[in-house]
Amino acid sequence: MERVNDLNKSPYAKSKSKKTLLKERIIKYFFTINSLVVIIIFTLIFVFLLQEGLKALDVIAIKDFVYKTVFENGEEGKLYQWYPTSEQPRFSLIPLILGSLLISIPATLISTVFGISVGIYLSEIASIKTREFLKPIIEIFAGIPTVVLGFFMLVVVASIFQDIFNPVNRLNAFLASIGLSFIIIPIISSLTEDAFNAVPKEIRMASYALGASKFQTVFRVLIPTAMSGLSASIILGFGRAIGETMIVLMASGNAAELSFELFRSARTMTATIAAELGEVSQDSAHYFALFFIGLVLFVITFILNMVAELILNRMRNKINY
Amino acid sequence: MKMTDIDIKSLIKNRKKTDLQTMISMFLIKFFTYSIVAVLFLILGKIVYEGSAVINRQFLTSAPQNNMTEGGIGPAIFGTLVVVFLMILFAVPVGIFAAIYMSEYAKDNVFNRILRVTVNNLAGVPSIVFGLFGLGFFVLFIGRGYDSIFGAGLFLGKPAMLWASATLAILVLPTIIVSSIEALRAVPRNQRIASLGLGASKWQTIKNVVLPQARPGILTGVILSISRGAGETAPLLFLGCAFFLPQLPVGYLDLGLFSIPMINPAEQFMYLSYHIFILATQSTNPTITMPIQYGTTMVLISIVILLNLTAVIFRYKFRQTMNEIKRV
Amino acid sequence: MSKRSLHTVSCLILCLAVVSCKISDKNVKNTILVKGSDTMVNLTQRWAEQFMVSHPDISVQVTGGGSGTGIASLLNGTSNIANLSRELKEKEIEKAKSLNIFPQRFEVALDGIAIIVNPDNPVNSLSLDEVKKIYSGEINNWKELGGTDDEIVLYGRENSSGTYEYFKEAVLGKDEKGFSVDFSARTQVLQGTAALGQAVSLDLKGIGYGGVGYFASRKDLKVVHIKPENNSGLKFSPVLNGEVNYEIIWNGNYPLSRYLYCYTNGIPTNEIKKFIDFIISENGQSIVKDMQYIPLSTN
Repeated sequence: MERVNDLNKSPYAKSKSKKTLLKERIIKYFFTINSLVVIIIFTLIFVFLLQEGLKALDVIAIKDFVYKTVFENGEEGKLYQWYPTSEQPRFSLIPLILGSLLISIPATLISTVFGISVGIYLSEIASIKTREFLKPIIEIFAGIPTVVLGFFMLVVVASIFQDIFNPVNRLNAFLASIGLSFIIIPIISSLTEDAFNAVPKEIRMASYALGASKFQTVFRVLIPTAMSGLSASIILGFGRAIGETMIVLMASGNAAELSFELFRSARTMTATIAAELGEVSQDSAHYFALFFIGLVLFVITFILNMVAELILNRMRNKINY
Repeated sequence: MKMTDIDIKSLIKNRKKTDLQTMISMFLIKFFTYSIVAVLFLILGKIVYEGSAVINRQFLTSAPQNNMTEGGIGPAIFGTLVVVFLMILFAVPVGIFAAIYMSEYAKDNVFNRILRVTVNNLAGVPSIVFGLFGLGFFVLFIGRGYDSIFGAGLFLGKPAMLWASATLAILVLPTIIVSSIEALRAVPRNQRIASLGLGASKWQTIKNVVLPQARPGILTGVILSISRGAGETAPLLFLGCAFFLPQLPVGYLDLGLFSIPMINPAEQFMYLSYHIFILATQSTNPTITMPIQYGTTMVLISIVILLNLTAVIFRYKFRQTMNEIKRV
Repeated sequence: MSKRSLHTVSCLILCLAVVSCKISDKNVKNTILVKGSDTMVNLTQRWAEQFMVSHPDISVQVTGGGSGTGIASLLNGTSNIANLSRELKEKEIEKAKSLNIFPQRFEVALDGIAIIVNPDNPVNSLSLDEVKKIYSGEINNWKELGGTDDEIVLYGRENSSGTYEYFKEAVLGKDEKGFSVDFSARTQVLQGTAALGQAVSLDLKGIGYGGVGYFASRKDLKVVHIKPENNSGLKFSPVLNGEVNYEIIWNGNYPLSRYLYCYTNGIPTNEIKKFIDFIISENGQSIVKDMQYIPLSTN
């Protein structure tokens, strides 16, 4: 009896009146609305891009986003060019998409090697002390503003590169790739570490107990087990590389040329928006074409994210199982 | 079956040491890792070495002069502070409330799953796309709309601090939500059960038990989002960053007897990261402006790194306390 | 308790801040918004600095972004003065008419466009036709111009800059069918004249173009002599002993020069008039000279 009395003195002990219940419900709705805001914003971005981007299709045929047909001396030719302000405007996205890939694929490859190494080192090799020291450092890497990296690439690294490789163009796709990999390495490494940490300790012990060396354990047991996590991290890193702006804007040279050479300058979709949107006159074909590029970027990163999400989900289920 | 905890490290130590494969691969992994760390320090070292030469009080407070070849970055620092402050005001409440819903209220249903996927996807949207959205939606749709409805002339329908910070707020929203959820989830379940068992309502439990303990973790997210916002450039290119704006965007609120200086969010602004961009590409002579450029870079980098370090320390402490609580 | 009051205060600040934007118009000093050509942004900034010294009650805000941005912002009312490094186009005049805006043109300075190469490049002079062929991609190798056997690396500006449009019109011209010629797709697009100068100064194979004021005093760049088309053997350089050669631009011998303009909406009044007057005044024009642009000819 004594104890119950004590409890009753607690401020919470009043039996929940109708008023309290109503209040609780209102509070719950309040939080729900706030989380709805997130969905609304995301939908808004998509709908808005869709609306503005699809307006481009009123003025530019969808075929023109791929190539423009020209007749030269009675022969039909296809022009894959981005000349939005020309007297004969050409809106082919091919050079831009190619540029984006030419920069982000090497960046992703470089980052995969380094990022996974760092991930393995942090989760499998480093002592706890080293890890506590290294992890913040890698995180700082992730925090360096991209404009700083772009500036650094443009001013310092470009000259070093010129001396070493003597590239065709001083500012080129490969330079931008290196710059990009600085921001993707931390992404891949932290996700790799998570993926390795998610592998149960028992699997490692079983491997060692069977007499496997560290190399065998890491490369034959852990990497295959964590494969889905690793691939998700690479996909996310690739998505980030496609979407990055400042580094490519400053370091890639921005020539919208149809080229497959790493040491030539290239122009990405993001850099095109950044360089041209501020100056374009509203409601022109060029303006809508830039929104169309934005839409393409949005869809690409959305798909990449969803794929990574699915892979990670499957991994979680598998490990829980 | 419960496995006894065996120290794997000691197991490995006892293995024969002449495993060449392991030696080479482990060496390579170590080499890659430390070369990344070395590159980071090289970059930071170069910036600090070149930048510290020009940084003094005057540099931090005065406006650029003589075509950016002299003077400081005062207005850029001011602009960054204001925009980030407004961004926090927009993003933090929504972010934390959404996180509370997702971690405390939501059941594992379709809505919640969509919500989680949306947050992840929002985090993956390229920053330049936020710039497109900010210009098209905030400036042209909302701003122009406001102006034409209220006949305000040209008041909000132009790139301005308000829209820049609103756009940045959307950009950092996922950062805040994800870290807040992590912080809230870290609070042990039995504490909630205890509180509910004492007769507290759900909201009382959240307010008095969960939130106070999760606060350092939530703060981590807020700090990280500040650093992210301060370093972002791409979306701001079309949202009101000015090349040169010696006057601070301050208006005066006239109360008759005295006037209070007020920040006017409908003005353009200078921004540290954008300043670095224009110094690198549009200054009169990059060779002359290079020291200022490095100085600006160093200021921005210091801000971002200090914030990130604070966040790391906060999170570290937070995890330790949570672990202790769990152990008790 | 302290936390709650902190929240209240911060909310209050935001409210007041928003309110203040309404009020500020009346109480804050007059503001002139200038927007437009990147070529003119440094110059205008200097004008603004000097002007504000003598008129502390007026604030001048300068932003770049290109001539296209400038006129667009004048048309939609986001700026009071548009800086243009070219004249208005037909389309823009029509659009202005439809919006009931009457752009008023002021010549404020002259600018010469210089063609620049790396100092170590043996090529010293080019004809306009050669420049055209270089930038349209017909000539790809310095060897064809008497230089080394290297591929020519083209540097240019983004398609909204006034320099881009002027260069396209004045140098590239039209093809046989009457369409204006486009830059070669190999042209690297840099974000400003400064970045362009930097790139050419570091690239042996590079060629670029931009306002002569940017390049005249720089030792790490070489300004190319331009040969007029009549094969008279004459060649003109806009730079003489590290300074801009005014005479040659005023008398029109150097083919690549243009006026820089400020456009206002209607005949300017009050503070805008004061600013324009200041620009055209002797003080304003001496700043033009200081900034390595070409002042308006006094005669």
